[in-house]
Amino acid sequence: MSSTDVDQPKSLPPAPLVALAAWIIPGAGYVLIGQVGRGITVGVTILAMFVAGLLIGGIRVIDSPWIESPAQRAEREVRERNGAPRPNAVQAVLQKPWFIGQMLAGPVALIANKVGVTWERPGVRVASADDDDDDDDGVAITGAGQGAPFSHARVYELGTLYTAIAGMLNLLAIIDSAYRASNRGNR
Amino acid sequence: MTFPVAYTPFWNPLPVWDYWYTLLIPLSLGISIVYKSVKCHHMRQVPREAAVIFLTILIGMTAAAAALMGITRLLEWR
Repeated sequence: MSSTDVDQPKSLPPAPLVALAAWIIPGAGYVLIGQVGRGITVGVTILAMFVAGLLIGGIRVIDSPWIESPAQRAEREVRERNGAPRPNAVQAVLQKPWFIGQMLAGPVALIANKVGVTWERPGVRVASADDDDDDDDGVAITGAGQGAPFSHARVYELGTLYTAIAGMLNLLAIIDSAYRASNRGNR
Repeated sequence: MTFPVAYTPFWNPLPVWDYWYTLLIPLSLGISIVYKSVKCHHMRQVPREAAVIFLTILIGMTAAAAALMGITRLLEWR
């Protein structure tokens, strides 16, 4: 018996609802249309890839154009006071295009971003004027109000890749589960 | 001044500087599983199909890396 011919609900929920559920919790779209095995496999794999990305590159690989740490906000306000133009929404997204992919993994990306910008460990890694951060530990120095530190080099790239690909795969699952919902559970 | 601290998951990046390329293996595995879970008609087909595409990706990436390394070496030699 397969997940396509068992546990099919008599009336399937509307495709937009399935798509929304699939975005909120990866794999939930398949569960809603009765394909529990497929939903669990897809959901667990996507979330595992997303968490692996955060683990590899640190939580700041999720870098939204709109969610800022207090230090980033202060820096932006200084730039704007000095006459720098504020980028519009499209320009802001184009500066960090990988966030589009990451956001497709669901609200977990937004939560991770918020945690990253507010996570403080005062006194653990403190920047000073004579600290040029030339050590090769792959992590930038942080200070008060900056949130968790950004990583850099390969680990940052890999963390971004993992999280963005997790989101892109979730887009695939969102489209497929919504289509199946509109086609009585079949492709 | 920077104080050295112990590794903290999610705060510090994973210390994989010398073997970062091995992390492409679980990435390929994840892509294979999700892609075939979406694509296959029956879930029982997924393990075999995912294994085939996973090996194909690995062999393809290895061949591409070897070819690029060969070209680079050739250009350096000339």
